[in-house]
Amino acid sequence: MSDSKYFKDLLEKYWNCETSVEEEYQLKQYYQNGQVDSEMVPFKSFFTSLDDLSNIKMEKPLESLMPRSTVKSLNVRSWVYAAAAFLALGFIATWMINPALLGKSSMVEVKDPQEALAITKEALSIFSNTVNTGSETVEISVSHIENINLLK
Amino acid sequence: MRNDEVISLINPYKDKLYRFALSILHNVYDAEDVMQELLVRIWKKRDEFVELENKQAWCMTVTRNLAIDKIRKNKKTQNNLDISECYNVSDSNATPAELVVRNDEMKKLVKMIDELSENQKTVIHLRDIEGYSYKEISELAGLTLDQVKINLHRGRQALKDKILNNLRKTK
Repeated sequence: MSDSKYFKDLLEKYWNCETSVEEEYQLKQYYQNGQVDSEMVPFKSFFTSLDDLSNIKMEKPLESLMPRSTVKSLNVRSWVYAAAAFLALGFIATWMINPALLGKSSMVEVKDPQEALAITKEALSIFSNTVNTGSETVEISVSHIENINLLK
Repeated sequence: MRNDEVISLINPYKDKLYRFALSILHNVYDAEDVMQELLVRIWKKRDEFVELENKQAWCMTVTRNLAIDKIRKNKKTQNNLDISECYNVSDSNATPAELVVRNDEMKKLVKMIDELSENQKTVIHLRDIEGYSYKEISELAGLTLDQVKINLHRGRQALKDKILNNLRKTK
């Protein structure tokens, strides 16, 4: 009976907003678990329902509510920027290495056989001069090495 | 900050936020929309959010504002209050018959609370369902301590009267 008196007083305090959070929890527990005094029965469903309401949970996980589109659009945008930068760099690099690739071809078609022969001869003479220079340089280098061997 | 890091910050009190939104909107889909909008807000202000001292209070305030905005935009939510699919008791120990009774009683209480003033509803929810202290409620609802106590007292008295009136009618 002392329990019953305690909870009756607690209920009165509850309606007058004189209970602490802890005392309100005790009151809910009393209605949930114990034998409820007949005078307090009218408020049983009230406290049971308050407890039920406090146990409602969100069924969907937060991950499923995360605004993927915002994140996705940011990622797509950054990929587009990266691709654009890569293409621009590639264009600049190609232009610097061989501008002919990006502009018109430097090849000229020669239809006159005499003119073609003259151009070819000129090209071959340039080539042979270069080759000769190369062989002379090699010969000088070899003689230097031989001299060094003689000193030994 | 990654998505999962944002989520982990509010995961501990996501159900409280959801219940708060649901108590204002009485619609699961609208409450989920509010939760999504809250996540967007956090994502946009993630650097500031990480620095916040009381993240829960900030989230509760934003949730309340978003839910009230949603009601204003979508007035039919309040006019056609249909809570039959919003509130369901989840107690694995209860029998199906008990669940039916408890669901019915819970919906009656939700309707009774919904007839209170906006501040009374908020204070009753934060105190009697979420178990916040008066000081916390004052911060979350933007009310003074006296306003919290007055609204709680009037709200509880109104609920007590409704319960006793309903009891008299059934007898």
